[in-house]
Amino acid sequence: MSGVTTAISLARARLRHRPARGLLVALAVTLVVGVEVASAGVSRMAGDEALRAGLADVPAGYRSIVVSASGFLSEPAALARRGDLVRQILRPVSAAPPRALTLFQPLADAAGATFSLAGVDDLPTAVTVLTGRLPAPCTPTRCEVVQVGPEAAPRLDPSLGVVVVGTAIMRDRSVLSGSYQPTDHAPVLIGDGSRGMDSLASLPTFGRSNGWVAAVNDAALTITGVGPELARLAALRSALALADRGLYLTAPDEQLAIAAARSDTAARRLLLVGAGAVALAAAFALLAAIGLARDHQAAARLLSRRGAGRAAIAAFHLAEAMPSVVLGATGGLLLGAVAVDRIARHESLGAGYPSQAIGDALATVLITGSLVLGVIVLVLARLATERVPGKLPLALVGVGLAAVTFLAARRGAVAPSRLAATDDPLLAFLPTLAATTAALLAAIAGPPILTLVERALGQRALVVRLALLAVVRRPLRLTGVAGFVAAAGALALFAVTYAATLHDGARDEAGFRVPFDATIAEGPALILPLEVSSLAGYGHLTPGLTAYGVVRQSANVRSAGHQAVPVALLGVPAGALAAMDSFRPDFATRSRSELARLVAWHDGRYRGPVLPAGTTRISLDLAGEFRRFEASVDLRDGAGVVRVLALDATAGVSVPPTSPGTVLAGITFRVPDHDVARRLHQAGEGVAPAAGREGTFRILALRANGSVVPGLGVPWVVVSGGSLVRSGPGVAVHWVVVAEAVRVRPAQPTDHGIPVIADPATAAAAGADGSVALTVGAGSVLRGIVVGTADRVPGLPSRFVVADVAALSPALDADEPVTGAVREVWLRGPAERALAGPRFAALEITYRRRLVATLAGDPLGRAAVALVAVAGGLAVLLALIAIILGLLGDARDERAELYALETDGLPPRTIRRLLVVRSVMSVAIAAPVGTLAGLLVVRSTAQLIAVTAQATVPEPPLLVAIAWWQPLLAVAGSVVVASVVAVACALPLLRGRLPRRPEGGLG
Amino acid sequence: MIGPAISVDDVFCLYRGAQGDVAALRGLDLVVEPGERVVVHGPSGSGKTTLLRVLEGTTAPSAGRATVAGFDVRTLARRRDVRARVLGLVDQHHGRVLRPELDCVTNVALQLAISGASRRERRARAESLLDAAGVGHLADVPPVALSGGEAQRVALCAALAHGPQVVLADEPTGELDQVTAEQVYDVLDTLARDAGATLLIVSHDEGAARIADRVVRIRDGRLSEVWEPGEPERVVVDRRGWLRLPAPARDATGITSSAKVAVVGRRLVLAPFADATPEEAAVAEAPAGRDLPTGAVARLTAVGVAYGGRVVLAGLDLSVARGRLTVVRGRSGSGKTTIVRLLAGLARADHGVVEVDGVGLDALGRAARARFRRRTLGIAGQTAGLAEALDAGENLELALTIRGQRDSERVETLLVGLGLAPLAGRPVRLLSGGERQRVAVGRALVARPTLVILDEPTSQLDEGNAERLASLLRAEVAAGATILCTTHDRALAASADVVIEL
Repeated sequence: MSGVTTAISLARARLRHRPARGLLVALAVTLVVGVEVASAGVSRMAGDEALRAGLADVPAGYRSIVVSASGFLSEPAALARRGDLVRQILRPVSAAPPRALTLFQPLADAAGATFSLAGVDDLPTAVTVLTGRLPAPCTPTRCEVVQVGPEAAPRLDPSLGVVVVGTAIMRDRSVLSGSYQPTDHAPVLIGDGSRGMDSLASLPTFGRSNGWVAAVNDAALTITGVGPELARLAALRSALALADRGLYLTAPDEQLAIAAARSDTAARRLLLVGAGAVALAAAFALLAAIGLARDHQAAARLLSRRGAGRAAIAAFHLAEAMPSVVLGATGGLLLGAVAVDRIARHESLGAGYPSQAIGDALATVLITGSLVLGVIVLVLARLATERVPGKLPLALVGVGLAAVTFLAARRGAVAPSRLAATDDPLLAFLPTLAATTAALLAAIAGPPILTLVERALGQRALVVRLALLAVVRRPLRLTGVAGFVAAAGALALFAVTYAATLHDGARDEAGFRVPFDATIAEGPALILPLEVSSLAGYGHLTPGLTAYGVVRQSANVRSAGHQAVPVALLGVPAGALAAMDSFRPDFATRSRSELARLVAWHDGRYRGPVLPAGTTRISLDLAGEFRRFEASVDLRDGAGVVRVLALDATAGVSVPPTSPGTVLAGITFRVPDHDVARRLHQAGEGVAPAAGREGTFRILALRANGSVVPGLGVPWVVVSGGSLVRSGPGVAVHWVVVAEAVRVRPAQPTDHGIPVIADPATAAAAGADGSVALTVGAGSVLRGIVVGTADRVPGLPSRFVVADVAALSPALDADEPVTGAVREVWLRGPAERALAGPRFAALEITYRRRLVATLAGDPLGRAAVALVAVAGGLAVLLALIAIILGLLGDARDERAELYALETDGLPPRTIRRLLVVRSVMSVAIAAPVGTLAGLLVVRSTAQLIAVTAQATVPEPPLLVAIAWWQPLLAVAGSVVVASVVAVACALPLLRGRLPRRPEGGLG
Repeated sequence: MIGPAISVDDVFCLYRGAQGDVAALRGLDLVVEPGERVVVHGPSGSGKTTLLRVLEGTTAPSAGRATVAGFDVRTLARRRDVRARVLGLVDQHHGRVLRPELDCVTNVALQLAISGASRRERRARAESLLDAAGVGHLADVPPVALSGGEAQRVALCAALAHGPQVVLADEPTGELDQVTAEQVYDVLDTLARDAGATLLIVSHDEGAARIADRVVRIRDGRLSEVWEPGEPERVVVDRRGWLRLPAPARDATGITSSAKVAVVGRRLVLAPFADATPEEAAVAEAPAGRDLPTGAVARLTAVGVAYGGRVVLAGLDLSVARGRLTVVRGRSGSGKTTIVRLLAGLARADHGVVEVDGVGLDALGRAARARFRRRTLGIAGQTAGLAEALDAGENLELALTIRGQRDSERVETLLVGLGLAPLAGRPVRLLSGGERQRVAVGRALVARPTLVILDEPTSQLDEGNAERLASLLRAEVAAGATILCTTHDRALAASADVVIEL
């Protein structure tokens, strides 16, 4: 025991004598522990935020605790008793007192229109009155209500005793939603008080539901609170069932569990940062121990010679390292808590996170502290015995670890799906594994390489040779530096990649949703973009703005033996496709410009009789059996806008003056609705139609303002309902009554098919000639020729077909007028200011920049990026400390040798250079290995990085943002930074007027 | 104690090295009785330090058996408490046993503290020992403030504070002048006697014999000679009949590689074979008939140096004659090393002029001094500072490379002259203290500098190697070198052209 005490006293004296190195170690531990605590804090915040975000996505009605009463209790006392029971049981879990409600079965008013009638307790807090006033409490004969929902007021029978006194909207969305959802699109009349509504004398036995609704206090819910909350809900359910078998509780258990799982995933991802920090700490401890070893070794040997036992020597090792570690860990806990507090305040996340973070990180901090302590003590103890492991065991361990790391990386277990699996140890061990492997590989591979370099140098470059030899013959420090650089490199690379990937991911995701700078679509007022301005008008809003008209339809594609599969059909200008910067190279094997070239359609002119400009009346000369049809013509102007006009078969139709280039796009002959109904009726009764099953009519002439329009002689096609008769004047059509309409139009170049790009699955459905049949709208079939494939295209789901809008629009309009209309506009350029005017307010406009800001500005994502950035910064900082420690350690431990060199005539500057070169040499060997290890970690966690901040898999998938040159830059950067730091660190050395004798004394 | 205090019975000790195993002890036998004082001499690398390590229990013998105070050395290796109780260890370098973080009295009391003595008890004991060693006034001073002799006396106190049964001393006066060394021996003798301890001293210093009951010499890992002080040396014949012929006997008889053995009565007669030829001298002979240059290479004029109020040199005038071997002698603390450092540009004079090769060093800055040394000087300090990553040969080459020279022949010649040729490829960190010292001297000589400055170059060498070194220095001087040397070594002083007594 006295030996132990003496050893501890000596250690204390040593720390007092030279505190700088101990403080450096403490500083490193402080930083590492600080990151761990911050990581735990941000993890918790991320989890809580993901939980809240998940719950926010759930409709309010399904986020509530609802107690339903089965059976019908008109007895007020019984209802009151149940109400009291429910309130008592729900009190612990609800943010506010449960609200009782009564919802009658749907009722019909005097006009036969449906409405709902409900009574809600504490109505003033449940609704906001828009007009009129709040209702007075109900009496059995009169119940005042407010109307919520459609404006049309139900025509109430006065005998009902219900009086509407105002209109309102729901303020508490948990009321009358979910389990108590009234009939859609019908007005809801709500009276104040469930009990009062129940007592309405006019509806004594009418069916109703009674229940109590309490909102879950999701604002206060945290990731760790979900489990207890679920348990509490289960207990409530049992308690309620025991207390009253007529009561049944529904709660958002499943929603909570789903949100909790997602938040857990979001939180656990940051475990990697903590694990990286642990690896960093271990590697740093190794370096620190190597730095401390020489002097410590002498003291330990002396103690041993003086008879100190193993316990005393162990106590000495411990006492040397313990104060630094304890001091550092304490400082780290404080630092981390402060950081977490600052983040929580900045994100307005409330108090309590610092203490929770400390609690969460305590185990990791203990592991880190023990690891650092263990590594330092083990290295000190090992070096004190002067037993260094042989090369063969070292090589075997290195090869083994490399194999394990490789296999770990290969198995790809670190995937988002595995994140929630708390028993996956790979995540926690991967950085340490990689760092250890790198350290051992550097120790094995470094010396032979450096020996070769040294031999190649021959007698030249004395300083470099000396440095090389020192590194070669004392590989322990090289091992430490490599391990450290590996851990730091892994963490820094992970941090950089993570931040870059999330940043790029936000950009890509926004770009995928808004292919250019803005997307304009039909708004809630059902106004189309081109009704506000022409395409050219959009383009002229501001200089530099380009507008692309886009056609979007849904279609079905059928391949042999397969069910029809819906696909999105997009028509976009080929030029827009080529200019689409959000189209990432990985979306297709071909470049977007090549795809644009393949799909481009250069013959955009719609074939057909051209009407003279200014035409105001159109008529047709028809002959034959046409009178049973209602005719309409569709005109297509030069801009591609199609108008469909009903045509009196004899009198024609008046039209607004036509613009130049307007063509007759087609004529539709439709069987009137009453004829269809009669035919169906006859068919139902098995009676054959008396007449008119088929016939022929002939279009003899098209007249504009009474004059015959030339051009009827172009080729025509019958799209549906019949076939073309080749003989005789004009356009003759033989029709059959199987179809309800006969459509005839000029033949178009698109009839032979239009070039399209499709996703691989859709492309696989194409025939041998590459054509794919797309069923659009009411059944018309469009022939697409697949000229290229892409895995994904911005703005589209996974199954799609893309064509040049110049081909798609006329092709769609040809068979079904207006289906090829431009309903969406994409803007490229400075769109925000141009669209700021009120005229565009009715449109739905989405800006890519704002979307990027929203996605990238997600507080969770930002906190995570900040954390990994801090961790990466810490890695770099510790790397600098390690370089400084190493260089100062060399200068101190080898002062006798350096003194001898100066005695031999090497000037101090050359000796400083020697120290610098030696430091840089270690980093130069260690950096590639360390960077490789870092890449290994990044590669094996690529799937982990490639999820959004909320741990969902995004569309498009995130690409791990690491270019081939970045690792090279990292290596070069490491060497440069190491050189700068080493030079700065060496500058003050050997600056005295005379060299100091290493052995001291007076001489 | 029952039985001998130290018993070494046919002990072999092998070290594993990169170039193969090295046999440090080859069947050594030695018995030391309780209370006996034995001094062990032997050339560098002969196995002296290994013997001490075996007895300390820090190096296990490869074969044979050794006991100390009745304990097998393997037991001592396992039982540090026993080892610490029975052994007192004195090191050549006081820096290894005195911690700079502790004051002298705490350093001395360290082992007592470990063994559980009370604070008062251990302080009293430590102060009493320090008083007995004549350094009681330094009790509260940290070791770094002490002179070499003072520090070594404190180190002796620290080694003997716990009253060991056996004291093992490794070159306890290796870094001290003769007068100081004698004081240290006296202190060691007194303290050991007071403790009733057996004393085994490993030393090159013949002065150690003044406190010895018996002196033994080890050569090549075996006991070769033994004698009582003042008595003639006796050649040891071991249990297998091996004996080692002393070099003078071999030289005189011409016995080199083999001999004829004859027994005449009770006498053994060894005679050389006729074809045997005397071994060629390893050291280059001085060129004959050379004109020695004249004039001073270096000069100190009215130089004064004081350290913290303690005057080391006052108004010293000294000149180093060109082409001469100049030896500076003096007691410890007389300023020998200070002179060396002044001439090497490693210290500054408080006043006076230091001039080397016509250059006034006072005007030079640190970097300029380094460049000057590279051009002009070759220096070997008392503690051999070598490039630890290199082997012996590479260290000599390094000294040439620093000066922009290449001369493999010169390196080889010097290695032979220093007796280091077999060790040329061995990393210097594996060399013994004496071998390292010779490498350091080689580094100083190899580039043929204008002035070679050597500080106590034989302090860790045995007599044979010291003589070899002296011969080498003579040869170098004869070849035109100018050498200034501080030393306590009489043989070296005897070889000097000029001896300066301080």
